[in-house]
Amino acid sequence: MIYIKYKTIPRETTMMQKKDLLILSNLRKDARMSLTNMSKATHIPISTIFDRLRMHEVGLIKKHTSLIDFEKLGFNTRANVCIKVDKSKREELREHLSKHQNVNSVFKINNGYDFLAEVVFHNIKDLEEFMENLEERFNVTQTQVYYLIEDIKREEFMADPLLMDLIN
Amino acid sequence: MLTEKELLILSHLRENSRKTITDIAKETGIPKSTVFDNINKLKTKVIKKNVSLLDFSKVGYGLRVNFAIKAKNKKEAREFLANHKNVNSVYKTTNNFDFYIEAIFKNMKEMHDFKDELDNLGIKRSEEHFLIDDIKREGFMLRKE
Repeated sequence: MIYIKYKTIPRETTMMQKKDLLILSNLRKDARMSLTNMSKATHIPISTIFDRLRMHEVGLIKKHTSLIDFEKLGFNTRANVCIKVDKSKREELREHLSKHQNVNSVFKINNGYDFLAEVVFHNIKDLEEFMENLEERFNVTQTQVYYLIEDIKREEFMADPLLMDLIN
Repeated sequence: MLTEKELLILSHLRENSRKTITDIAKETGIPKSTVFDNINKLKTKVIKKNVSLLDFSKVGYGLRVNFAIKAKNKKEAREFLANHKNVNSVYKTTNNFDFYIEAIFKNMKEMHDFKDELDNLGIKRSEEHFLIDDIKREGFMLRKE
C-alpha cells in the first residue's frame, strides 16, 4: 500500500502577499479609507483592492469599527477585569458578559483566570456594583481590576503602511 | 453629550465603520445630508479612530498577550511602548502599575525577546494574560437588532 501525503497550505497563507499587507495596514490606519485613496497611496489598482478586501472580509477581517472616546460620552470609569469563575457557572457568566451593555470586549484567557472583560461605566460606584453582582450571581472566585485611566496608544499594531514595506 | 441621531449613527458605525452614508441613510431613514453632517460631528466629538480589527493569527501573529507594567523611568518606558511595533495598545493605569499593554507576537521567541528588552529598561511586569479567544469585541454602543 502506498501512502501519499498531501501537504495542505491554508488558503489564507498562500494568498497573503505584500499587497495584502499594504491594504490591511491602510485599513488598520483608517478603516473608512476610500478605495480611491487607498489605490493612490499603495499604487494597487482599485479593482484588485476591491477583490482582496472582499476576500479578506470573510475570515481575516473581523470587523471595521469606530473606536470611541468614552470620557467624552460621560463614561469616566474604564477597566480591564480578569475573572476566575467556577466551572459550573462559566457558561452562564460568559453569556452575561457577552450581553452586558457596559462590557465592551470579552476574551477567553489563560494563566489563572477565565475571562478578561473590558468594561466601561459612568463612575466607580457602577463598576463596584457590577463586580458585586458578579460575585453574588456567579460565584466568581477571583478578580483583578486594572483601571484604564488614559489611552496612550490604541490598536496600532500593523497600522503603519510604511512599516509594511519593510517586512513581509 | 450626543443627540439621539448622533447616537444612532454612531451605533451603525460601531457595527461597521465602512458603511456608506447612503447605507446609513437607508437604514435609519435620516436624510443623507444630515447623516453626512452628523458623521463629521462625531469625528470631532467622539470617534478616536476608525480601525479594522483583524484575526492576526491569519497573518502569522498568533500570540496575543496582555500585561501590566511598572517602570523605573516612566517617560522612557512610555516612549518605548508607544513606538514598539509589537505593542498594539497602551493604557495608563493605577494601583501598583504604571501601564497596561496589549502586545502581539509571532511566537514565544518574539515574546521572550520583548520581555528581555523590558528587563533591560528596568521594567517590571505583572502576570501575563494570554488571549485565547475573542468572545466579544467593541460591543459597547452597538446597534441593537
